Amino acid sequence: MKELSQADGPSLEVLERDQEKDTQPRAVVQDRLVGASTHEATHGAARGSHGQSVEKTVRPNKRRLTSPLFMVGYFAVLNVIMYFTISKFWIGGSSFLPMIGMLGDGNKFLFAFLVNIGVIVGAFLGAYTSGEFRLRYPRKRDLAKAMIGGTLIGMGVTVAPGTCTTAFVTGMPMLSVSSFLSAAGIFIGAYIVYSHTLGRR
Amino acid sequence: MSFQLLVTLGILFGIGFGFFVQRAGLCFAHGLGEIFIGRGKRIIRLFLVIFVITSIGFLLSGYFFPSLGLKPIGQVRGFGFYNLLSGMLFGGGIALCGGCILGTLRQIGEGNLTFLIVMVCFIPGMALVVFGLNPLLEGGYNVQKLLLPGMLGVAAPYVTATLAAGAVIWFLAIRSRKRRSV
Repeated sequence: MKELSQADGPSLEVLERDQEKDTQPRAVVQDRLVGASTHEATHGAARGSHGQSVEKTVRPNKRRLTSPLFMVGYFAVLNVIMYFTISKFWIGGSSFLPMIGMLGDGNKFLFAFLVNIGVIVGAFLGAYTSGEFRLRYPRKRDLAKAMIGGTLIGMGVTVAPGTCTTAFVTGMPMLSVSSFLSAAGIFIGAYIVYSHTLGRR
Repeated sequence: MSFQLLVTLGILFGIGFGFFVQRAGLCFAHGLGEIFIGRGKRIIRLFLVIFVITSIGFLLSGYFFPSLGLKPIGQVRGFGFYNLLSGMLFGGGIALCGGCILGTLRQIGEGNLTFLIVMVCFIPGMALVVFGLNPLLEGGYNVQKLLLPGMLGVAAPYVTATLAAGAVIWFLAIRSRKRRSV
């Protein structure tokens, strides 16, 4: 993993950190399974299999409630609550159309764009409160990938609007056929690029 | 509901989404990367949780409010060809720059300015298709708004229940395998 993260710049650097987030609750589970008492698991100086120390004062239930699994659960619940309360749900790609002057019927794309501005603010709050906020400037070697990748994403979200990332969090749960097709396309497209970049290393 | 109120609520929901996504470390571009290098359990579990909760929630919404319920997201264009193409372009793009839409927004919030460039570069891509390709292709589009239950001829609750049950079983299988390997 380390080799990959160094080779592929910010994307895999973050991937590694995301996986670390997921290993934190695992450390508690492992401590229990290897026979440590609950007290030792939660208050002792136990260490998880991945080397990170288990915080001393955090209770297991509290830790579980803030685990990545629960966090995506809250995200999903919030998406459903949003649908129930204002009849809207989170959409991805099409929400950027206001950047080329398309606001949509009844300003629906503008609304979605502003929700995404909220997502940035929320991510900032999450990162700031967890101490993960760090201003990182683009590296020269990442610029070309960022620009080509961004352009391809822009094309992808407009060739068949309302799909793409939305496919995974809204479209597929809505049982929308277009989202299942897009998800298949995403796998193919991502696999082609990954196999040509990571596969060669 | 006035547009201002709608936008205010929308931004508040957005802040919630961003917060949870950041804390979960959710990004489908990284998730696909994890799958391709054989470490896909994390993202699959996250996706299954999202799928089960939202699919049941969206289905139930139709029982509480008839104006809600399941709705097609986007369109099936050219009998699905353009959706596949769209997905492939998008998939290639996110794999290249390392962030899906959620991931891009999240990383901008985390202070990674590379993703601000990614977001700005959506503009030429979108403009190329909207002002260049779409006018050429529109006449040839076969546009359908399809839901899986309609296509299969099976009632929506049965489809949702089957898929949600499959997702739960998959989730439990991953969890038990993980525990066994501990």
